[in-house]
Amino acid sequence: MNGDARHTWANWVPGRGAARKAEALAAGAVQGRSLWQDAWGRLRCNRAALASLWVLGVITLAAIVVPWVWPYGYAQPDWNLMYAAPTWAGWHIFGTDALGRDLFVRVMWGCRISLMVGVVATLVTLVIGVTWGAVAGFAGGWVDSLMMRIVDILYSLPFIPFVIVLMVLFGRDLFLIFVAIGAVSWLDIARIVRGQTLSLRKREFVEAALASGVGNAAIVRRHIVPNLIGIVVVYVTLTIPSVILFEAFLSFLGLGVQAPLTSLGGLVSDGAAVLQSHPYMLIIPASFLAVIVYCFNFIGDGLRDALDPKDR
Amino acid sequence: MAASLLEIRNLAVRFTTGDGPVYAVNDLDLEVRRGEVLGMVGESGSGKSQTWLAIMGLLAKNGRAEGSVRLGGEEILNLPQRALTRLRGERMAMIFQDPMTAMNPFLTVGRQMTEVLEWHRGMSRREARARCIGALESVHITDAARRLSMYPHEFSGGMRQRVMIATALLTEPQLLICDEPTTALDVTVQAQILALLDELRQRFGTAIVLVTHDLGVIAQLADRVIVMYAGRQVEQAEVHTLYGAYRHPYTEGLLRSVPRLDQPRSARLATIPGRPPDLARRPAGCPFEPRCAYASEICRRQMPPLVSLGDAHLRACHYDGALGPQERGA
Amino acid sequence: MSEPALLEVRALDVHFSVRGPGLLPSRLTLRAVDQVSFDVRAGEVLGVVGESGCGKSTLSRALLKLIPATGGSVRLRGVELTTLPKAAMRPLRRSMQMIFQDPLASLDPRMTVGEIIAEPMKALLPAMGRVEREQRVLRTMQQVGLLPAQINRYPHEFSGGQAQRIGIARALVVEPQLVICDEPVSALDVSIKSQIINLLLDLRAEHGLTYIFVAHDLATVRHIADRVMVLYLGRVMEITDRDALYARPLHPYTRLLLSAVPIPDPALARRRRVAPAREELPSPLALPSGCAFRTRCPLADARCVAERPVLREIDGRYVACHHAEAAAA
Ligand SMILES: Nc1ncnc2c1ncn2[C@@H]1O[C@H](COP(=O)(O)OP(=O)(O)OP(=O)(O)O)[C@@H](O)[C@H]1O
Ligand SMILES: Nc1ncnc2c1ncn2[C@@H]1O[C@H](COP(=O)(O)OP(=O)(O)OP(=O)(O)O)[C@@H](O)[C@H]1O
Ligand code: SF4
Ligand code: SF4
Ligand SMILES: [Mg+2]
Ligand SMILES: [Mg+2]
Repeated sequence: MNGDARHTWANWVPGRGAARKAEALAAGAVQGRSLWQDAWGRLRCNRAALASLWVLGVITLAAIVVPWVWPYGYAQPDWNLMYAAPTWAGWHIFGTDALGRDLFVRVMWGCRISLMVGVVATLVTLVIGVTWGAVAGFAGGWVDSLMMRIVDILYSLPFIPFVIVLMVLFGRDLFLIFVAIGAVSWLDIARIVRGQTLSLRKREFVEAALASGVGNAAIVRRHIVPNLIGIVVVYVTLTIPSVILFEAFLSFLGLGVQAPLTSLGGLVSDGAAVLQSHPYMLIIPASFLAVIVYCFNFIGDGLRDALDPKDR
Repeated sequence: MAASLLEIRNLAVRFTTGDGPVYAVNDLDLEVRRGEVLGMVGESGSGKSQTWLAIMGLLAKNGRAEGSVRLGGEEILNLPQRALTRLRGERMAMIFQDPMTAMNPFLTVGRQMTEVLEWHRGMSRREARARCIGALESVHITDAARRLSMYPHEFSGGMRQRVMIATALLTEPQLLICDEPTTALDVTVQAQILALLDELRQRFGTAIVLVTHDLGVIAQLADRVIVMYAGRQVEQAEVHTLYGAYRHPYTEGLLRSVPRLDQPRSARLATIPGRPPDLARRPAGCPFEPRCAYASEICRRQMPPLVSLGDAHLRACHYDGALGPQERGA
Repeated sequence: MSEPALLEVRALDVHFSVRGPGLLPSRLTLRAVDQVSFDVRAGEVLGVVGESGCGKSTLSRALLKLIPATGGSVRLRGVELTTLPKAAMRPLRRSMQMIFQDPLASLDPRMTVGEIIAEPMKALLPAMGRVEREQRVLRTMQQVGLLPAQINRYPHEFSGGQAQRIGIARALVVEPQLVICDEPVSALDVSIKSQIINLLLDLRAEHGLTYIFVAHDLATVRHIADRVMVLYLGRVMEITDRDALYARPLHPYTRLLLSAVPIPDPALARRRRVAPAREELPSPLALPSGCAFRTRCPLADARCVAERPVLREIDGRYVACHHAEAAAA
């Protein structure tokens, strides 16, 4: 332990890691790295993205932990304490709402629901959209035509009535909301991915891979998908916030999550109604919504830059 | 000796980029004489195109030109946009490597050509049409009247380049700048275009600047040659002098590394080792030093000035001894 | 010449079906490669020249089965490739590799140099371990003049000449016998071109490689090729040993090409002053009857209009021209 005295805070120099890496390279100890390793290294150097990752991590953790440990539940009214402004008394640090429910725990639940809706719906979108688009683009020919016609048809379906019908038929189920949102927003990404794949497929490096004997699956995995990532990541970071906002819109229409459960969107719309008298009811959930949306945007930017080797 | 038409003094072009400045052209001094063909050779990125784009006022937004350029005695560098447009239409014209990018794909060739005359010469559509047919015929495009109503994509690459030349000549410019006019074309078509340029020069007395990286093209057409390296002029001479009695190591390297049909085949090609310079850096000494076989101590420290060797032969090099292959020749 | 050829190509056709002009387009056939036959002997360099659009790239790709042939046969050491199923083709790819014209476009921008060079080994030598693969990458990089320290760089960090070295390393890493080079130096700078040509020649000497070297530049081909095949509009015009071809081209098209090559010697260039070609290349969708070259040929006559010349042997050279003997005189 004492033997390794070199690594103390006293002699720590910033940038030492990089210097050591350069040394290793110069010494001929070269080792192949991949795009992903490089990307992670670059992402770590992006302050905004890193800070956003932290903030988002903290919010997520809080959204998971707080509802367990907090003395109040999200549906627990206190008829003596309606519209209480934020106070330390009784730990109502964000105040209470019209029914005297603790706003802090409701905001945490809201974050939980909104993040879940955003992430799960986006995952659904991604999996369906990227697969659909990449297969159509790579296969080409009639397969491509057929798959894209299906997309066109789905596009022309009016969405809000579709969601209403779903809700009426199956009730207001959280899972259903994910599915409904995901099932609709994959159309855009399928189109984008297909267009990109089509042009990638004709690129000379794909031909070079074919000439090297690389199989179709490996070409999609090693050449097509990594080259799609830039655009997909940007799209995802735009989709998550827009899905969160969309869910807020559904809540506003009364089609969102079932009361008394709530989401950030639902809280914002509740707050907007009493903006004049109780501004904190709007400001607090709206700030959380804004921070989450910004974090995703910064992370998206960071990821795109990190995954683009040309960007220095 | 003919009078000089274009005089360039101390021309410098630099670009501001995210990674700092790029010095694309440095301390360029040269002149173009009336009716001559001036060749300019150099590797990719040696500043050939940017020199002439700067003179035409066509630099990219992040580029700046400094120095002085006089056309017929009149300063034309960094003129305001209006004056430049007039100048470009009437006294100088430029054609590019890829004629397709210089044409509007949605307009007929006739429309694009007559527009020039209507705009700069105030001709009626009718007159302009007649002139355009004449111009197309002078570049040997048959069936010119019908071709006027065709779109650029209906022409082959060689024909498009002819159309560009015809358009450039409509306003009878004194100076025609050709930036790699044949690089994108096949050798057979290249031979046609070069023959055409030669013919036009003789017929109209237009001065032509021929920018290319192909020493064969220059040998065919140019009267005088300028060799560029890293945004600098390294040698300038009359064409026979340059090919027969060059005095710069880079010129020697270029000439020796070209595979050629007029000499016996050698087992190995001569090469210039290393790679082209990075224009973001400005070495204190000769920019060719890292690749030069004749480099000595002074080359690293001091930039060789462009000095006259007499007989209109200039070069920028510290080395005074004989260059390799000339010992063997005449 | 008793040794069998490494690659035998017989009457190879690659036809594309393309949309015709007009509002109600009909399908037209574009004969990009039309009845092409030739042999490649082990250890030689076969140059392939012709103007743009004459089917050089299409031929290269068809030999590697990157584009399906519409007819004819390609045999590699006696094995017929055109009918071979995809899975059976895979092991044969080890002996045939390709180098592309645009060095940067042929490298995946999101892969490091190490990954790019390792890729053919992953595909073709799956049994090889990671360590061995990496060592082989480093060895090959050294052979083509790249520094081992550059293994983690991305293609855009390289100049054109260096990027082409990466492309060459990728082709050579599986130790192929035949390398098809589709204009490997056309996109490169004058001073870099000769470096790459010398590198290709050195590698050939070291590894006993066979090249098909495609170019549109006859001066470059003269430098590297042992035999030269001249293509015009998808057809073979002439196949001849290098020295014979450059000393005495038999086919009128070969002579046209040779006379158009600019000569970097002002005195010679001005003395030569050849009459440039009469016409331009006809559309590949509407080939002339008889000889494809007849619209531009100074010797064309009625027979050339009526009858397509076949590739025939004259003094050990193969020429497709009715009047080759007259031309030679
Ligand atoms: N807009 C720009 N911003 C920054 N650098 C530029 C810009 N345009 C050109 N350059 C740089 O200026 C230098 C000279 O370019 P130029 O186009 O004159 O080269 P060239 O001699 O014409 O080469 P080529 O044979 O490739 O046409 C190059 O190094 C190029 O990278
Ligand atoms: N996928 C395709 N579909 C239709 N036509 C094609 C296709 N690929 C090539 N062609 C046509 O086939 C002909 C030969 O093309 P190819 O690319 O082989 O020419 P090339 O000799 O390599 O030319 P270059 O010197 O310009 O590379 C051209 O007329 C081209 O337009
Ligand atoms: S100045 Fe020196 S380095 Fe530069 S070209 Fe002359 S001899 Fe070579
Ligand atoms: S066959 Fe006739 S047209 Fe064709 S190359 Fe020979 S002489 Fe010319
Ligand atoms: Mg240029
Ligand atoms: Mg090609």
